Amino acid sequence: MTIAMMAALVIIVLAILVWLLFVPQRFPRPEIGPLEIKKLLPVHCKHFPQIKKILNQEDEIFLARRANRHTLKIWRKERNRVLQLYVQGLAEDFQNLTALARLISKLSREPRPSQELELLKASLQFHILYRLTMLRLALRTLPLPELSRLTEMVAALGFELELLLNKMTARIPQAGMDTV
Amino acid sequence: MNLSTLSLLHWGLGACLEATILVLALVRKLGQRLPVFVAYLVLLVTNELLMFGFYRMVGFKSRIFFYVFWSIQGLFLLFRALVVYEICRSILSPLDGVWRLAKPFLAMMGCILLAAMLISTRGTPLSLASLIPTGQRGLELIIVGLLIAGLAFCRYYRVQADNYLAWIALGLGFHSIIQSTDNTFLPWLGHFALWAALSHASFDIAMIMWVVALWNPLAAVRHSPVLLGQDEYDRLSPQVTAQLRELNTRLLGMWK
Repeated sequence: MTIAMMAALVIIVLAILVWLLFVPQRFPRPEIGPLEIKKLLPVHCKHFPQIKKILNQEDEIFLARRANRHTLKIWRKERNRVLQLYVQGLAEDFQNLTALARLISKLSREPRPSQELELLKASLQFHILYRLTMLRLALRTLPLPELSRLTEMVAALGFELELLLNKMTARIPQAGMDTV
Repeated sequence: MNLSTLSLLHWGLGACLEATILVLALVRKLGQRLPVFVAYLVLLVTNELLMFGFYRMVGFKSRIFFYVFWSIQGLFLLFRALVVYEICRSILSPLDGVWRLAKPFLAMMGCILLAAMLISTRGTPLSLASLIPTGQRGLELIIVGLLIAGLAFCRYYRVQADNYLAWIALGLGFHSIIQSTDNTFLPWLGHFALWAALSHASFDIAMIMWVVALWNPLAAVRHSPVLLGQDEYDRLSPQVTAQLRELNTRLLGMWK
């Protein structure tokens, strides 16, 4: 028992090391050039009003009265698929924004520990909520509060980045810096 | 008491491997990139020569040999911890801000692991036979912990380690994991031959990884990324800001 536990422990730690050292990192986009930064800006969260309409219960009640069971089943399945795609899109938006935030951090000469910690916290929260929402969709329930919260998080991060970029833009003429 | 022929042969082969790595490191001019690692290799080779002479003089089981051996092992441990720091610095230092952020984080991790080691040694009998395995385990765990924390930091900021650095780090990590596990489960492992062999050969395996690291010529030194010029920045920044502002205006409109 002890030997098995020990072997498992060693294998796990070694696997973590190998993963950290040798497994190439997956980037959300092939490669973002310095002037293509707009590719990282969110696109999917703009569709939230349409998604909100899809989640409206009235449509379902109306269809339940008019359409047959089979059609209703197909409609529900399609709605679920659209919602899943939307949530995946939100995750992509969020990933792109965090990539932009990290790009700014990487190029910055001033470390901002509190902001980095906030970003890490937000990323963890987003991922937990994302998994929860996907689980609810798999269970065929309508996760409106979770979808609102996910969209809100993408918007909030976008807002934070805007403020950060504004600050950086304002600092340039004063400091006479030639780089970010 | 003298060592068996097999043990002496193992010692000799180990020393040859250490010398090979040192030669490779010098040929590859590794001293310019990882001076502490090269100093560690020099120390390893010198130690083998001196220890062999010392062994011939006083014998393997003498008290003085025991103290000298373990003092040098302590020094090697310290050097390995410094090499881990050097590897993290080598990967992250081209990114000024990130490296400045990583330094206190690594220092904090080191302090936490050291405190954990000191707590774990509480209640250990005050004899060298008990203190050496506990102390070594703690220090090896600090090395593994710092290595994983530093590499996680690199991963988070999407900085990929060069191949030679990755192999050197893996060698260090592998040896430390095996040694710390060995010291933790020693009472149960005394009769387990396979594990004893692995523990005995862990440093040799680490050295083979270092040979792999230095076998091919090293990649060119990575300098700090070339940042945008002021003209480009001035053009790009308002563009990005305007897009983000537009998006936020739309998003804020949704909540009303």
